[in-house]
Amino acid sequence: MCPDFTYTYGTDYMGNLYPTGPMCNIGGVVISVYCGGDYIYCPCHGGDDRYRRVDALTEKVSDCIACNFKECLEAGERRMHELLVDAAEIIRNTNYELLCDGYYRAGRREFTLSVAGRFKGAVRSPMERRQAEALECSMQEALDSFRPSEVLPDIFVDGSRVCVSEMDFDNLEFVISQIGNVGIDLLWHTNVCAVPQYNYIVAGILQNLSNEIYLYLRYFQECFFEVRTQFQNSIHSAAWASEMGTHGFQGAGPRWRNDFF
Amino acid sequence: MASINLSELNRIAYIYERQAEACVRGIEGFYDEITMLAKKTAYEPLVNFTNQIYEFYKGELREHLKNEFDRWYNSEYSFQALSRNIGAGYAAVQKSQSAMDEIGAHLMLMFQRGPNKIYVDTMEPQVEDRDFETFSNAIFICVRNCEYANQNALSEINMMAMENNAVSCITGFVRSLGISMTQSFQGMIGQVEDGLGMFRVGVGTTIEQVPNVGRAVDGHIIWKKGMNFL
Repeated sequence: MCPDFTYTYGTDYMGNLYPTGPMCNIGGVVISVYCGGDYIYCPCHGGDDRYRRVDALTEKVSDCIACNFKECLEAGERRMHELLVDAAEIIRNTNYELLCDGYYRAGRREFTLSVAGRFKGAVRSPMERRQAEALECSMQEALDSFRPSEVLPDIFVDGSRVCVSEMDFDNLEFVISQIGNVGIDLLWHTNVCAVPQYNYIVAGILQNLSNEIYLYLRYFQECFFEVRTQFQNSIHSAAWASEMGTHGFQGAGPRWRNDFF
Repeated sequence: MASINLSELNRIAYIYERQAEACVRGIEGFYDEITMLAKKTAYEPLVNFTNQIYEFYKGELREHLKNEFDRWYNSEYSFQALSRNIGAGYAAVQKSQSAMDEIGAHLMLMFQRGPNKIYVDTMEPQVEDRDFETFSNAIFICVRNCEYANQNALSEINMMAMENNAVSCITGFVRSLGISMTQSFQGMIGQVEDGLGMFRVGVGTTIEQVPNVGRAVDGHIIWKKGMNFL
């Protein structure tokens, strides 16, 4: 989280509010905050005294890009964890080993995203370059810590109590499909980044992350679909073969002993 | 909608146990009836045929059903094959196997019980056509009892199979068991009719050889006038 801050406001010629001199309170020390620029970082991300901006027209308070990005990713990871907990619960109740294997196979997929050079390429002055480096470093850190595989809930199944139906697969599919929404939700966060020239960079990173999340979801779906197909085929072929395997008695049976007639 | 619940396999074994129990009861009732008949008639072919049924039950039929069971046990539609094919894991395969072993044990129990061989003094036989009819009727009742037991088991299993597809794996075997039982006993009806025919022919031939008594037409004795007191 960014440090606490307060604002003082003025009004422009049309009567709109705009911040004139926000004050930042970091550990009890009040620092004057420059709010005229477009680059916003909090001090912990390389900003000197500029880290927030209030949009004069919308009055929307924008967070530090890096903090916002990190929070956004953390929220996404939390939501993803919740969904994985739900999925794990469904699988645990089925006690179905193959499904459990599919879950681990898909869930352990790693995300590989890099932000190296994205911001540095968009700045000119040495000061901005320093801030861009700090920003990249911070964002990369946030991206690296976005590891659903590390928060993947563990499942222990008791195969002797397998109880699985198509409905479990349907429920699982629904829960997993929600992971796609996590990626979409991330994209909304691009709108709260107030720096126009950085906005598209952040949007690009989040878009890539969203794509990765979508692939993660697809991988889950593929694994579960594979299990479901094997499950259905096995059942149907077993039922069919069982009917085909019906044989009556073809033997001779008891006979009269003719020597008595 | 496909679904599997391996916890219900014990229930299937129980259904099968009841089916086998009902079949054995039907067969025991039938065997009591024909044993009584064999003792009453003291007619050696009938006594032998009754013992043939005993031998058939403990031998050929047992072997046939054991083979049917083994075929199911080792097939791709056994419980354990299903567990293996759906990837339910080692514990599930073990559980399925033990459920099948239980069913196999019930099958063998069917043959540990059931009829026993009979020994009758056949020096003074007393037999008539009606005895063969009684024999046939006893078989009919036995077949009906077996059919009834099988239908009950099948309908119960089919009901379960609607919610648990693992159950459908045993449907073929249960049906096969029912068909084998009814077919083998139904086959005996033809044998009894054959026996009746042979009995009539035997009696007719003998009567024809006795001068001035009567003649045999289509296995029926046409007595000469005044001879029907025989």
